[in-house]
Amino acid sequence: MGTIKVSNVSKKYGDTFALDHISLTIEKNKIYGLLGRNGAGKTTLLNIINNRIFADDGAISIDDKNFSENKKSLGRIYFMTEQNLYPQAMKIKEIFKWTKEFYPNFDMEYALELSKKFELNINKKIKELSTGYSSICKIINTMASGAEILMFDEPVLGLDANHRELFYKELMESYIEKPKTIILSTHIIEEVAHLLEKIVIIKNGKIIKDESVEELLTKCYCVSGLNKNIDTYIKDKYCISLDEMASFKSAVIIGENGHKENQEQKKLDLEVTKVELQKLFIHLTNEGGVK
Amino acid sequence: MNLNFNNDSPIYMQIASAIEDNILKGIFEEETAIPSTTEISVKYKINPATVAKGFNLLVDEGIIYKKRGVGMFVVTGSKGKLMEIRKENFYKNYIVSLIEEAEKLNISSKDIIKMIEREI
Amino acid sequence: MKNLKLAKYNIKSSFKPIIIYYCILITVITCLAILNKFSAENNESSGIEFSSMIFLFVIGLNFFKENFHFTQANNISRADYLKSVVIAILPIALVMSILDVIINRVFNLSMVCPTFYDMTYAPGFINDINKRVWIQSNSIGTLSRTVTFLFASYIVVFALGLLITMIYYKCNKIMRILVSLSPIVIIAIGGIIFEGSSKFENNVVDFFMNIFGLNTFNSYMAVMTLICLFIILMTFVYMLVRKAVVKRT
Repeated sequence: MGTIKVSNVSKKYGDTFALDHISLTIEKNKIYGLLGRNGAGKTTLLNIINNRIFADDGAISIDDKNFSENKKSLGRIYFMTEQNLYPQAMKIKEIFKWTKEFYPNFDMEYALELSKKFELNINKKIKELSTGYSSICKIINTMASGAEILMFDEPVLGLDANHRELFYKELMESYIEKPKTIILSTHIIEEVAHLLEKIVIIKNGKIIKDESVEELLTKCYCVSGLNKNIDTYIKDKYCISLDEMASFKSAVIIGENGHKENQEQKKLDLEVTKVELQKLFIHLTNEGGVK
Repeated sequence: MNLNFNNDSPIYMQIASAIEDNILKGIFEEETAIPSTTEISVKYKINPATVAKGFNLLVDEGIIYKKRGVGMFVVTGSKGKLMEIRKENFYKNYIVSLIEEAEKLNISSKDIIKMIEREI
Repeated sequence: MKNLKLAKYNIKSSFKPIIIYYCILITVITCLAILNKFSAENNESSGIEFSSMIFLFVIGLNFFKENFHFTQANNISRADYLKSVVIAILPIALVMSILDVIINRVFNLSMVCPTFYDMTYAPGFINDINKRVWIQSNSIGTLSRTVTFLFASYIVVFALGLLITMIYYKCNKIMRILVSLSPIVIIAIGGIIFEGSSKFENNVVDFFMNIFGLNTFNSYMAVMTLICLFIILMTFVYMLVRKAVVKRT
């Protein structure tokens, strides 16, 4: 119940593949991070899943029921976009009321409670909101929607540090109280690193990583030491980044860091450290890499 | 409970360690409740599944147990148990690296002992 | 039912414009009526419904973008959007046609003002004022036929506005220019063809006379034709909505 399958989806704009034969399974009730550089295809993917734009190829299904224009399926998802889709002259409390019409599980009390916490004046009209408060309004709408699947596209755009922290905490509370599938597409990676259970990284329209955060971070480490020692070490390993500083090199490796590797590191006098998610992301998505 | 996350080990292990530390320090007394998954998850903005994994680690080791509907409690005798485990690891984690570092710095065993006596 | 709720939204979003329109209309009509009192001549007016048709056409032109975006925000399917549009326009058109007939009858107390229906389908109506023996009838038959005729005209005019706005939305600049020019082109081509063959011209004219019940003074014929036209227009609208996408701003 509630598993979304993306099967071989492609979308072209002119000659470029915005999405290149993407396949993905989004498991129920997990928190996903959808990461990628600007223009990588994250928003395109989310738009296609929510039937806002149309794929050139492939299909989306929820619980193995084909999606497109399936009204019931769409209604199980609440999608927060960067775009402003509500009439500019509409008041926030009206938006809540209308969302309740179309999402019967909308929790008005919760929406009002969150509005207070974020200091959002619900009597204001959309056009009167700053970027930050516009995001806050959408966030609250999404969280209170009561939908089983929540998708956030750049939720913290324009939010100050305090509001971001508040958002993450409220999201956790909401997730714990009533488990749901959550997809966060964001550029602010380090802040959400611990919130996420699984991560999908898109690069140039292709999925380059689709695994749990823990797996990803466990399999990744950074070695540093003398140039020649590093060169020896990385010869038979999957190295995704190499940095040079004077006579020292540091390399980011993806692979096992077990007993054998430890021996080798000791022998070559290499220092080993773990890699942060954001750093790993940057290394993985930089143009060009070292094998 | 103070948790400062670093990147040295998986988060769930760090959570387990932090709870163990607090049990050893006596902050979490035996047969009392430790913070819930929700509290830790919300306060430190960590995925509840990760927190749960850390808890499960401790449950498997017999350090904490679940009281249905109430929460996680510290098992009687955990403090003692943890001390034993940590004592065993003390040699591995501290002594071995101490000797290694001393060798690097050309410190003789006699000097090491003198340094230890200075502290005690 | 999502359709009904969305229809409610559609109607609500048109509420203000309609109220404003009627305030203006009633004010203008009242002024005309008062001015007529001071005028010595026998003045005549007509075709108040045309302003309503223009109004509804404009409503149709503006009906797509905001409402469609709203639909998308709530993850409602495009098919539901279209159904809700139809469900919304029917009561609006009906209420407006009844209101317009009432306004017309009240206005007629002050000066003679035939409706478009009267001018087309009322037997005995001649354009020349001096020769005319027609008096506006307030029988149930006439009133109901006027209302139905207006209703059918209104929904077609609305659908036309909506279709045009959808075509514009879909097209890029070049296509838009082409679409804007197409009525002129059609008329010009029609004119040329008619020049060539008067028989063809007669056939075409006869056809239109028939489907609009002009030669038989049968407004029901026209109503049926208009309803068919509405269905055809909305089908085109649906074909365009099916592929409609919120544009990146």
